[in-house]
Amino acid sequence: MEQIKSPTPPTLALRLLNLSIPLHIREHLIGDLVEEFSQVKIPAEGTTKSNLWFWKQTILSSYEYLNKQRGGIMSFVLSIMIFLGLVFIAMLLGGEVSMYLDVPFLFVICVTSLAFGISATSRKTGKFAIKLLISEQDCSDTIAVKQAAHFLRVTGNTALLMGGLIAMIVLTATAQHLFQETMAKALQPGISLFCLAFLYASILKILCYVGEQRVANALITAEIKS
Amino acid sequence: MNDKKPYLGEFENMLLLTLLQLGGKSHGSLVRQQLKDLVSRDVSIGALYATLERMENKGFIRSSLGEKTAERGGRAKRYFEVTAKGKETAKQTKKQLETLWQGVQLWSK
Repeated sequence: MEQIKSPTPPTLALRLLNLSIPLHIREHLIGDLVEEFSQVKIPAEGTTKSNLWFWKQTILSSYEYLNKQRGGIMSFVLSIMIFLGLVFIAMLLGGEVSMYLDVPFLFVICVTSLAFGISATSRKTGKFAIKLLISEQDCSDTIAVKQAAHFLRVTGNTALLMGGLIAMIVLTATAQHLFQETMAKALQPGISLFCLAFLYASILKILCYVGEQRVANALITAEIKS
Repeated sequence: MNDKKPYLGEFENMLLLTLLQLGGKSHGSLVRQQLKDLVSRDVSIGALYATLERMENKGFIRSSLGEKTAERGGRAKRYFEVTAKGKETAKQTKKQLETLWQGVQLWSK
């Protein structure tokens, strides 16, 4: 006999709700929505209309809380956006933006830093640290929060060290070529890559530093509450 | 007006009356549906919870945790009920509105 599968709300919408609704009401609010979805909407309106209704509720509710209640996270995201915007403007003023783009360098610094961050803590801690930055999480487990701060510290410091290391390699290679080619030809690409390595590393370090401070603040709040 | 009384916003007043109509303890989904059925006000569950939280902070309502059920995906219910202060404020608001409506004529004879 074929078993009838009970209808479930869109997974992506549920994830969005989990990220945007404050922790103390998350369970009750989502529970109410899921109950109304399966008990009222699905029998009356079918799957497509019910899914649309669930998405509408998700977007309106997420907006309500992100806009009115979550000033801390919104200002954090806004400050990161302003910071990246200013870096972009500085690049524009310095010449063409494309000359600041070196995908292999960016990839090496970002991936290595994240890998070091995860290996120093754990994948779970890395995920928790990212979640802490973009949504309200349960901070009662102060050890987990401290580990999240440690992940951000390791990632940021690794980025800076990687930048320094690559810059030194490039500088050595440039020095080696100085005697083989003309001065200008040898110096131009080397200095450019040297600066890029530090630029990428510094950006990642700043982002991690701000994140670390935010997590440290969550820890202080949790300790005061307990 | 003499002393400072707790102020009830338009939507807060609607929610308070809906909770009183439902009687006893009611959860968010039921309040949302009742509002829609009675006054055709279709609010998002987020807006409803934000207002209910504000009203709880003002002392007009109180909430308690309910059971976890399968149809809610194992999530617990949160029940809301009107406090004595809430009932008193609702009465006060009704009185104020009745006073303001006196002498108001919207329909031509």
